[in-house]
Amino acid sequence: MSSPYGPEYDDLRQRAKAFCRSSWPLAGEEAELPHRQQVIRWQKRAIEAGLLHRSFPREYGGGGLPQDLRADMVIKREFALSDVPYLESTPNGPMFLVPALLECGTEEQKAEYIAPTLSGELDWCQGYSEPNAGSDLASLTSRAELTPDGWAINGQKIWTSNAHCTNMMFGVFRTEPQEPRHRGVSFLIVPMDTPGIEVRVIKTMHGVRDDICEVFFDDVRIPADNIIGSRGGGWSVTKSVLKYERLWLADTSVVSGQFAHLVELAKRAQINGSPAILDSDIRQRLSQIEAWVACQETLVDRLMAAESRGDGEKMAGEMQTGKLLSSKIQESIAELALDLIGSDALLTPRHQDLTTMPYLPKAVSNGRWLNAYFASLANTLGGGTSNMQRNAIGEQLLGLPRDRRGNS
Amino acid sequence: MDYWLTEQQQLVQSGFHDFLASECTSARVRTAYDTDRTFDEDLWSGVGQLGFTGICIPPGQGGSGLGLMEAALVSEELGRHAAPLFLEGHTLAGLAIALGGTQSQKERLLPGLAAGERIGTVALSSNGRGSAWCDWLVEPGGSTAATVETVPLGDVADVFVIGCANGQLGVLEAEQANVSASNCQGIDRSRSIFEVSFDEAAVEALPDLPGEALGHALLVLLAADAFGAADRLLELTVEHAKTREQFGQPIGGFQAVKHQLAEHALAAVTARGLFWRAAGEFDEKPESAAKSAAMAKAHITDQAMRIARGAVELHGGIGFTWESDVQIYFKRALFDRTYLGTPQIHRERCAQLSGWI
Repeated sequence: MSSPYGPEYDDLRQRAKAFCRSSWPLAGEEAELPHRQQVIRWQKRAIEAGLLHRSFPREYGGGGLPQDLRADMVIKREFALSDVPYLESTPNGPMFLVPALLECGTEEQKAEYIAPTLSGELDWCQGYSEPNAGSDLASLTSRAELTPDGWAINGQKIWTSNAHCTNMMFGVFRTEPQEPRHRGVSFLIVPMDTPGIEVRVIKTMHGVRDDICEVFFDDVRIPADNIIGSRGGGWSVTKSVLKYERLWLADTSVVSGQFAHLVELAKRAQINGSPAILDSDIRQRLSQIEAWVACQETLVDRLMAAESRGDGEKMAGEMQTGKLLSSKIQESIAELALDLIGSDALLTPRHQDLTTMPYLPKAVSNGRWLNAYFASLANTLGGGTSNMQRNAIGEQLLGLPRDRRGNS
Repeated sequence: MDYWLTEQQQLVQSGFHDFLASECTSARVRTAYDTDRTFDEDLWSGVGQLGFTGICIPPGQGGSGLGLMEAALVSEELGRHAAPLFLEGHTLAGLAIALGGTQSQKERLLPGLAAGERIGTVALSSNGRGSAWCDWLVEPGGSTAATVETVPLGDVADVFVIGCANGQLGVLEAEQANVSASNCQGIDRSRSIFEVSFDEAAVEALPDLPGEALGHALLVLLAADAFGAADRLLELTVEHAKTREQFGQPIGGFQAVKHQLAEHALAAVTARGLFWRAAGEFDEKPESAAKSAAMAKAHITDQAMRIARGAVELHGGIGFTWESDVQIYFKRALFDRTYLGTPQIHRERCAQLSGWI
C-alpha cells in the first residue's frame, strides 16, 4: 500500500526505515537485559530520534515537535512493517493519561508521570468499568475516602485490560457519595503494587488468552495528592481524555493491514478446487469490504487535513462514527475469513495463534483468523459497546432525543 | 491530494447550494413530477447566469476552467436538492470536448456550451446490454441511422458526446444529424431519459480522450449526486423522527429508530471521502481514477439506496406516498445506483483493476 501523504514525507519514511533496521534488536550487553528493559531503552531512543511521541513537550520527555498526524502515520507504518517493539506498552498512558495530565495535572504531576510514561517505565491500565457500572459508568460505586493517611480505596473494577502486567492504574472512584452520579467521582492514580490490590485474570471465550482482569481493592492506601483535577471533577477529566480518542481511532493501519492479509487468504484458500478469489461471490464481498476500508482511510485523511489546519474540532462529529465503523469492518473481514478457512474453524487455535494480527509480509495462519473472529467480537464491547456508539451517534451527531436514563 | 476543500472549492459549493436552496424548491421539483415538462428553462438560465454551465471548460473558451472535483461538489448539491436538471450531462460534454477535441471542435463548440446558449449531454449507456461497461455500437461517420438509449437531456440537447464502437468518443450537433428523441418514461422524473436516434454520418470523432475516461468522470458525478441525496434524506428523516410523536414522545427517542438512523449516519458521513478521492484522482492522478471512481459509484449509490429504503420505513405510511419528498429522493438514489452499471458490475471491475483475476 502506498502512502497518500506525498513526497514531502519520503525522507521521514526513509529515516524511520533506517532507524528500525539499526535500532532493534539490541546488541551486546544490552541484549542480555530483561525484555521489558530492552523495550524501554528502545522507546527512549525512538523518542530521541524524533520518531515516537513526537509532539509531546520536550520538557516532559517528548519530542517537542509540532503535531503532524501524517508524519505519525508514516512512521507507524514503517514500525509496523518491521519487528520493533512499538506496541508492547499499552496505548493508555501516552494516548489518554498524558493528554489529561497536560490539561488538568499540576506541575509536580506532569514532572513525575509524563516522561516515564512515554519511555514505557510506567505502563498503565484503565480503571473504569465495574460489575454494576458498564455502559452506565456513572453509577460506579468503588469508594475512595480521604483519610489523614491519604485515599483509602475499597471496591472492584472489572474488564480491566492488562491489569496483571501494568504497574499503574488511572481511573475513576466515588469520592463524594453525597453528590449525584457524575459529580461524585474523582480521577485517581493507583500504583498496582500497593498492598490490598488483588488482580484476577478472567478466562475469556478464547479459552487461553489472558489479558482481561478483575481488580479488587481492600483498604488500598494511596497518597492524597494522587488525584488529577479536583475532587468530584473525575468526569470532566475523563471527558478530556476521551477528546483524544478520535486521534486514536485515526489509526487505520489495523484494518488496512488486515484487509491486505484477507486478499492473500482469498488467493490461498480453495473453493471447489480453485483459488477462492476466482469465485465471483467472494470477489464481490472483498470488493465491498475494500470500499468500507477506503471509507475509513478517507475519513482519517480528512481528519488529518483538518487537524493540520487546526480545524480538528470540525471533524469531531463525523469521527463519532469511527469506532462503530472500525468494528463493522473488522467484523466483515473476520466473517469472510471464517468462510475462507472452512473446516479449520472447527479447531482450537494453537497458543501461538493467539497474538495480534501481524502486518505484512508475515503470513497469517488459519488459527489466527479464527482468533481474529473472536477479537472482532471483543471490539464491539471494549471502549463502549456498539449499541452505546449508536446512542452517541444518534444523540450527539444527529441531535435525537436522549434515552430516558433511570435516575439521571 | 489534500483532503480539504480549498477556499475556492468551498465557494463553488456554497454558491451553488445557496442558488438551489432559493430557486430549486420542492414545488419546482414537483413540477417535473406532476407535469409533462422535462426541462426547466428558468432553472437552466439561472445556472447559466451564475457561470455553472461552463464549469469544466477552459477560460479561453468562456468557461471557469475548474476540475472534476468542483463538478462533483456541484453534483452533490444537485442531489441534495433533487434538482430537475441533469447538469452532469452538459458539464461532461464540455469536459470531453475540452480534453479530447481538436482545436477547431473546441472553438466551434465550447463557447456556446460555456455560456449555456447551447445544451450538451453525454450518451454512454451500452444499449440493452445491462452488464456491459463502455461497450458501444455507434460508428463515427458511419452510414446508418443509430439509436442510443437512456440519454438524459436527449430532448433538448444541441451537442451530444457519444460512446462509439472503437471505445473512443464522438460528438454530433443536433441540427446536422436528424436527431429525434422519444421519452423513455424514466422512473426518476427529475432527470428524464430519452431514446435518441440520429444519422451516424454526422458523428465526428473526439480524438484525444478515451471513452472510458469520460465514463469514470460520470461515475464520480453519479456518486456525488447520490451522496447529496442520501445526506438530504438523512436530514429529512432525522427531522421527522424529532417531530413525529407516538406513545407520547418523539419517535427518535426510541432506540430502534435512533439506532437505525445512527447506521444511516455512519453510511452517509463516511462516504464523502470516497467521491472526493475519486474526483481528486481524476484531476490529479488519472492512473488511479478508474478504480476509485468504480468504488465510489458502487459503494455510495448502494448506501444511498439503503438509506432511502430506511427513510421510507422510518417515515411510515406518509413515506410511501407520492406527496412525500422521500419518494423523489428514493428515485434519485435508484437512478444513481442503476445508471451506467449496478454496484455489482463496478465491484467486479474493482476486482479486475486490483489484479485479483
